[in-house]
Formats: sequence, C-alpha cells, structure tokens
Amino acid sequence: MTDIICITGFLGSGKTTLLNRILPLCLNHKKVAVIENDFGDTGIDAGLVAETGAAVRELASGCICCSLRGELKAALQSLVVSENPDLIFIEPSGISRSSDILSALESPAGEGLISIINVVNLVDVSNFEDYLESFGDFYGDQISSARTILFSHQRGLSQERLDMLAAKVSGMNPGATCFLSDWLELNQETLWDFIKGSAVTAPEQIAAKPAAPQGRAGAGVFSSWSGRPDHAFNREELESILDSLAHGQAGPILRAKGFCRAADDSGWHFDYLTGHSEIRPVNSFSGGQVLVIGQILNAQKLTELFRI
Amino acid sequence: MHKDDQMTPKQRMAAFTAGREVDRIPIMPFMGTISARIAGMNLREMRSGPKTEAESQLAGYRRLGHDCLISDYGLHGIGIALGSRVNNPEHGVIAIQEYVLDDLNKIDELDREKVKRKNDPKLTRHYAAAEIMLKEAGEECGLNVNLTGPFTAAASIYPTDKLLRALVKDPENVHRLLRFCTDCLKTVCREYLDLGVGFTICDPIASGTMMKRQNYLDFVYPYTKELVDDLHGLGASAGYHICGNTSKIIEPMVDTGVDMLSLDNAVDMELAKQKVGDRICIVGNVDPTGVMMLGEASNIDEAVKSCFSKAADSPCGFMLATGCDVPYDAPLENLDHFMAAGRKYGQWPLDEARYH
Repeated sequence: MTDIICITGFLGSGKTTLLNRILPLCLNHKKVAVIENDFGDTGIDAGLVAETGAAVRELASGCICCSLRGELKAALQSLVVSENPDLIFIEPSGISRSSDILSALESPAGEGLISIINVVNLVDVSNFEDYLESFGDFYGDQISSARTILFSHQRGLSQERLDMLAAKVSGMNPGATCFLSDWLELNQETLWDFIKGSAVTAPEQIAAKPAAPQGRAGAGVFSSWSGRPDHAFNREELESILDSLAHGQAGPILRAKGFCRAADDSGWHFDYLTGHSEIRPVNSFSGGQVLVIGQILNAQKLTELFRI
Repeated sequence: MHKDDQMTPKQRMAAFTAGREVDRIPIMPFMGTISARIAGMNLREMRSGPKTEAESQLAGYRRLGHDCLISDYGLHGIGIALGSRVNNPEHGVIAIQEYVLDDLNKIDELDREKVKRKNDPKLTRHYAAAEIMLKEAGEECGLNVNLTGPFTAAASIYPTDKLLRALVKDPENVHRLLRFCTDCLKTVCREYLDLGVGFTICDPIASGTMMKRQNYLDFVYPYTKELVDDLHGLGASAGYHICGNTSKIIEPMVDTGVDMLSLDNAVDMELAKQKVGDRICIVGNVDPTGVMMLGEASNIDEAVKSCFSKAADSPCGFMLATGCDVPYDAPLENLDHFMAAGRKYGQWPLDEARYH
C-alpha cells in the first residue's frame, strides 16, 4: 500500500516551497516519489531530489478538461509498479479541481494500491478574496476538497484581518483542519506532522474545546505559539504546567512540546498530545524551546506558565 | 454515403438548416483523437503528415457516417505557430512544455506573421489534410475547422495559471494579449477560406470552471463577438463550444452571434433549451468519459435517448453530439452504438413516443 499526499493550491501559494521543505523529512519513509502537474520555472529542488532518492514524474495535461484523469492514473500506476514507493506526493496543476483528482485516485484502479492520507491546500491568503471573486469553481473546489489548509503570504496582514479571512476559508470547508499561523515558521518536524495529517488525528479529543467565539475562525482553525523559556523547572513544576495546558488554561491545546532547563543545568524534553503527556530528562541541553499548537491560544497565559 | 442513411451529410445539413425534411437529425461525435484508432494509427502517426491526418478523419467518416469532418487546428495552434514548444505523445493529446511568452510586458515582441500558412508548418499540414479530405469526401460531407477562442489562444502563448492571475493583477495586459490573439485568429481563418469550410470556436479556458461570469463578459465575450462578426463577414459559419459548465454564461455565448451552440455534458440540455433554444440550434451532449469511454451499448442508448427527450423539441433545432472530444481510449464499438442510437431516435419525422 502506497500512501498519497496531495498538495494543492493556486499559482504562488507555496506548493513547491512546501515540498522542498518536507522532502528531507520523509527520509524515514524508505521511498518517496513526486508527481507534478506543472511545467514551470520553479520545479522542486534537484539537489533534494537526488538526496532523498525521490522519483519524479511530470504530467502534461494537454486538454485540461478531459485528459488529466487518464494521465494521472497512468502515471500513478507506473510509479507504483516500477518504484513501489511508500509515499507519493501529488502536486496537481494550480488550476485543477481537487475533487476531479481525488475521484480519479479513488477509482477502482486505485483500490488496494493506494491510501490517500492527506489533502493539503495552500491558500495565498493575501490574494484569497480577489481570486475567489475572479476565478471559476476550481478555486473554491481546492479549498472545499482539502483536509488540511495552510495559509501563505500572511505578512502585512493584521491579526484581525487574518482571522476574518481564515474564518471565511474555514467556512467553505468546516471539516478541514486550518492552521492559521505562518507555516514557514514551523519547525520541520511539526510541519511534517500537519502535512501527514497526524497533528490533528482526532480534533474531538482536544482538551477543553470551546464553541468558536463570534467573529473568530471556525472550530477547525489552529494556530501555534512558540517561546524560549530560560527558567529552570523541576519535574513537578513541569507536570503542573502540562496539567494546566490540558485543562485549557491557555486555550484548547492540541499539542505542546519542547525543551526546558532543569535545576542542575541539564534539561527536560516534554511532549503533550491530546490528553497524554511525557516528560524525560535529557543530558545535552542547549536552550529552552517550546511550541504549542491549539485553538485560540492565550499567549499571555503561556508566557506566564513558562515564566518567559 | 453510409449504408444506414438516405441522405449525404451535405444534403442533410443543407435541408436541416433550411428547415426542410431530412432523413435523420445530424449527429456529430467529437472525433478529434479517436478517429486515429479507427484508421489503425496512433496519435503521433496521425500528426506526422497531411495524408495520415486526412486518412484518420476519413476512416472515421467511412465507419460512422457522421455529419462533419474536422480539420483540428487545435487548442495550442496559435501558441505553437508563435513559438511555444510542445510534446508529441503517441497516445495522448499534445501539451505545451514551454510557453513563447514569459512576461506580459513582452507582448509586442510576438510576431503575427508567424501564424500565416507560409510561415507555419503545422497550419500547412492541416490545410493540405483539409484539401485531401475535401477531394475524397467533400462532395458528400462538409468540413469544419476547430479553432480556439481568443482566450484559449492566449493560454497557448502564456501559461493558464499566470493568465488567470493576470485577470486580477494585470488586466490591461490581458486585454492587449487578447487583442493580439483575436487578430491572429482572424489571420488563420483567412488562410482556410478558399476551401469553403465552416469554423467551430472552442474555448475551454473560458469555462465557468476557470472564471466567473463577469470575467467572461469582460475578457472573452467582446473578442469572441468580433471574431464571429469577422467570420460572418467572410461568409463562413461559426459554431461555439466551451468545456465545462457554461449554464451561467449561456446567454452571452449566444449573443456573440454564433450559428450553433455545442454544450458540454456538464450543462443540462433542458435548461439550455429553456434559456436559448428559441434563439439558436443547440448541440449536445453525451458524456464522453462516463458514457462513451466507460459505458456500454445500453448506457449509450439511454444517454442519447435522454438528449432527445430533453432537447429534440428545441425551437431552433437540436443536433446530437458528444459533450466534448471522445477519449482516445474509448471502445470503438461505442461510437457505432452512439450512431445507431442517434439514427434510431433521430429518424425523421421525429416521434416523441420513441424517446419519451
């Protein structure tokens, strides 16, 4: 069985940047392949491809309306048969309808061979309203067919405006996980968690999940907070912090992980994921680092808890 | 003439458009690619010269007896003539690999002379193929040139996604490119004119899947109307086909002045009849993939019957067709089933009892 991750989004939304960023993290998947449907000057990084050993196929769709379906199936089948990869990234053309691609993938030919583990749509949030107003249904279809939505090009937008746009996007696909923070600032491991869909496996398990407040993005919208605590904690203090997080004191938390200084200048590694937490000592401590992912995070409370 | 018909396509079309009696309703499956398989060649062979190109169309015509031969100038024709680079697959339609224009500010560097027949080997081939087809079958069957609309022509010069983005970011330059494309298309039409052919304008990129109605009105309609007016001025007919769901732009499509309107299977023929059936002959629209490629005789019969039941009484007439090009991989027998169903339900005089 080959896992499939579709990365969708219009021109300039960051599909190739995202692929270049996460390909190195797929090394623990033995074999990775990429199917691209864009001829253009910004292909995926050739050096990376060599390093990861990823097989790359390009699709040339002559008539956008008719031939893509068959061509995608053929490329997929030949990749699975000849390379037998564990994971295939599909990066469709920026003007394709995701639902057409998914129905081609889910056809009988794909049964038993592949498993679609995530459909990630990148939304160029600064152009979202203009594009939605101008483009035909392919654009909205990419949003409504996604399971995970990431927002690109956030710079220059106020938090208020970003929240409003995210609420609009999320409203077009309430079932999707929207990640509101700038994904370019996530560390690679956390980004990979989102891309493979495991960051939000069971949103209903999120601690202290509230009803979405008025004017804020919908229940599926997540953001992140990060900090660099320098305070030394003992195990009981750290347990108490994670307990506070689990009880929603800084907002509904999905995940919290990182490193904190311990009393003897060694460190702690901690990891909290939907109700389950783990703390273990680490010898080589090189500075405090905390990442929290959740909904409507209370930054002030997080700063207090970690004594930053 | 096909053994199952009493009139040649030419006699039938002339009578049909004049409102006189015919033996059956005209039937026009889109035979752009699958005709090559009927002739026993692959698509690269079909594209290799005028003889193979003509023979592929003629083989399709001899087998089916459908109502028009095609000279397929193609969706990328203008771009290729100007310098866009394409692939040449054996079993697929050609795709652009490198666009001649990478910056909308360089439109002035494009040379319209290049689309003339004397400068374009591809158009030279199509023209020679059209001559062969007309020599072999022109007495009994008409020939239609499949052209693009100005917007799809622009998408063969400059990448579609960038062109769509420019609708938002750089509309002035999009208009300049469309102005240029419209002039190129007028030039190409003139190159075919002495053959006495008709034209079909195909504009897949202008589909509702790609752009909103207002963009159609601003960027597609004016240039298309100008092209249609020009063709009429030259004494040639113009059909019109846009892929995908065109329900929201169907009235302005007819306002361009085209002579018949071909509809993708994403459009409900009943709705098309209600909206524009009193103004234009509507043509359509059996699903090329779901029915023609994946279906069998009974599905095809049912789909054809449904087209007749929805559209046969359309005030300005109805012709049976597929909703888009029949896929190259569709079973050839399905084309026979399609023609048989069309001849059964379309037998003159039409009888509602057959298909209601």
